[in-house]
Amino acid sequence: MDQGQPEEEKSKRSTVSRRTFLKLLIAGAAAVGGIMSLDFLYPKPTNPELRTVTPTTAKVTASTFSTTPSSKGASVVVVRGSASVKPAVLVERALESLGGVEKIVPSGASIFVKPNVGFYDKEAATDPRVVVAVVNCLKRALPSQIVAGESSVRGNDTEYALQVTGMRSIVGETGVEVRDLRKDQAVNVSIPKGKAMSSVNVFKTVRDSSFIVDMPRLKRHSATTITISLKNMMGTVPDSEKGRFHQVNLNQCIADLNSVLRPSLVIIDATNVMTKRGPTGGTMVELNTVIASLDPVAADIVAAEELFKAEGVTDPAASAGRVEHIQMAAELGVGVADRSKIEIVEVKIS
Amino acid sequence: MKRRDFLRLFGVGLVTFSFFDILPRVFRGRPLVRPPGSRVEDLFNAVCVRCVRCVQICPTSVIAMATLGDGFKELGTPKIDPARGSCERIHGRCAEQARCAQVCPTGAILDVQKENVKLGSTVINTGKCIAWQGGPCLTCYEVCPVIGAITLFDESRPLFNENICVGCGRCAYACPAEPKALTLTSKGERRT
Amino acid sequence: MKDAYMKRLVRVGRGFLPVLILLFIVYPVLELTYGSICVLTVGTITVSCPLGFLQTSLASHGLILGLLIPASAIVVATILLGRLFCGWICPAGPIMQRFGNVHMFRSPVITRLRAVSSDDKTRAVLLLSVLAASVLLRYPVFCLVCPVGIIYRNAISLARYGSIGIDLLFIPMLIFLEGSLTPWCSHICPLGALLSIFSRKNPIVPAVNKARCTSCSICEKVCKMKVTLLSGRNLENCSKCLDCSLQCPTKAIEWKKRAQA
Repeated sequence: MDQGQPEEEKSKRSTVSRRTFLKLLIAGAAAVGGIMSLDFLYPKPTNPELRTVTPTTAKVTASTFSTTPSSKGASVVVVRGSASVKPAVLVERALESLGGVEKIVPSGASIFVKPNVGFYDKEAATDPRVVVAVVNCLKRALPSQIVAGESSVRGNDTEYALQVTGMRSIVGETGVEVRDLRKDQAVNVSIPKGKAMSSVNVFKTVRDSSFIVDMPRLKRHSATTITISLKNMMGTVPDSEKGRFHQVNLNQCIADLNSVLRPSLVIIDATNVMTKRGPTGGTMVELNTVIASLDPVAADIVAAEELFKAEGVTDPAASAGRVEHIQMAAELGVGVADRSKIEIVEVKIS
Repeated sequence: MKRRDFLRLFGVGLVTFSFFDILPRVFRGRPLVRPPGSRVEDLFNAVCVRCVRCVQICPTSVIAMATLGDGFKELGTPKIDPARGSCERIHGRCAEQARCAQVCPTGAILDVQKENVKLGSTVINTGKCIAWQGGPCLTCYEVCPVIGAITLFDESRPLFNENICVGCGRCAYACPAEPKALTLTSKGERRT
Repeated sequence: MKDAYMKRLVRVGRGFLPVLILLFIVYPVLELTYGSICVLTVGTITVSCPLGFLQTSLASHGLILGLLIPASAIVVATILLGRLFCGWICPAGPIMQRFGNVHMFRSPVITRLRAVSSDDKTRAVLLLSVLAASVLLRYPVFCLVCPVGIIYRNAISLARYGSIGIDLLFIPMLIFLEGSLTPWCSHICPLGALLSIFSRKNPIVPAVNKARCTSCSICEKVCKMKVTLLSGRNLENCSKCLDCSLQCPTKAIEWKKRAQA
């Protein structure tokens, strides 16, 4: 062996031959390089939610949902209360005026409630008290289950949003589970009438439900003018899809999505509405109103008009008629956007 | 030990470590964006003991370990990576107190008042931006927690104000364009 | 029978404990700890690497108060228990020792370096070099290449984000160093060198019972830290791994409080 090498003591210890060591070294370096190059070639999205989007291919069509869209006409109930009227009262009257929750909701239905909890701001979210009121009414229809859920705006943690807006604790008291949909599995749903998309990934909880109760807060929106029930449905798709919507055509994608995940019942929280700027940072105006309908398009048209009225816009009906995604949804048959075909039932409670 | 050997060994150590520092400077790209309340860069590198406690505790995972491309001697130090999340010191889970500053044992990251937090600022590549290319997107404007940091041109296209922007990275994270139109830079950062 | 059992238990324990500690730290359970072993908080107690404290203090030309007490805790532990960290907690030790015998190249430079580095003073010089470099270059130089830090940071990175860093390649480089030149733990590691300063007077040391000893030198051969038990030198290196006492054929080694010199 070499000169000057350490003495016999080394031979007592387990020896690894030069060749073995070299082999191990090369294997190790190859492994390290391999793992690192994988990281390079396939950059992993570290948002765990994005990783779960390998959808299963079970398909569902719009007929899963109990109410079918009608192009004939629609009815929208607008319940206005004075400042002292509680949200529960507004909700009760709204559902009564629509025909009563037992008529609207088939018994044994699997209900999914979609509040708006996109941000960490209480003002931007649906008022939890309104959600509680709705849930309490829904229970009377004897559904098989009620689940609430949301997937917040990209970058916001849904859990934290649910916590900080009080949605989790307040709604949790009713016994209804409030789910962070990002933890849910994503499934693929085909869109037969889709103009911008032929299929979309949605969260399993939503697809598996038989009755969707859409509960947005009435707000302005920077990109879509307003965000009401149609836009609120974006919280039922994974982050990657939200991104895709923006890349393809946001308004058309919202319409396409609603054509397969059509809300069966829409209850719009207009107790405090966000004006001038949205979906966050706007000026809150107290209207103490609840707008309800079985037609999401009609509900949005009416609600948009209310919002513009509250802002003092000159021709609120015309402005509401110009909202792109509402018109596109009407074209797909999701609902009625023609003001003349919408019956508005006004209820005042003092 | 002979003095010559002593000097050689001592010298070898010094030279090796200098090499780790000097050579990569040639290859380094833009300066790193550091967690909010970080010391000035020289002091940061001196004081950070590479314990990665901040990386472990960050609730949004926006703090990442610097890699080789960030500089040799910076390996293991924390940097802000908006591809993974955004800094919620201004608005969100760290609004009360910066958790990274809380666990940093050497004071490389100090807990500063919210008003003084500025990690850097965001720049936009309008060629990649969906809105500037005509599409309906204002995701950055939607998620921005600082009013005035992003304003709208023609009510449809985002304009970035690097003075008001605090560099939280929410817009850069949420930007749906592929490749992203927004980059978080260290420009205008406030260090302690 | 009991001997074999004890041997197996100690060997398994020494193999598993660093791994268990690594897992406990990489996957923080009940959020009791954050970050790597460099600065470890368990509950309300924080301990830190004393070399990290020295380097960052020197690099910042000041004193890092946040690490003063945590580092002192380790110093005190070393004064009392010797280089227990090296024997039972350090994840790099077993790796270095396993591959410690690989002799890579034959060259006059290597031979000369080996002769130089086999000297007891090598690690002191390297430690001084590290400290001087920290002052002059203004960053904690050894933290960059420290195998303990590298293993922990990459483990955390792998577990949380599925990625590893190129600094892992330092480990084979250091193994090469170890194999070609001189054992890492006892002759090169600057952290070991620093801990040895404090463990000089540690009270629990292996002592040879002259009556039973047959001078077979097995104890010295199995000692990973190159403690020359028969002459009682280099006792500050002792990592309390218990190999010498377990392997001694005549049970001549006892663990006792150091007799007054």
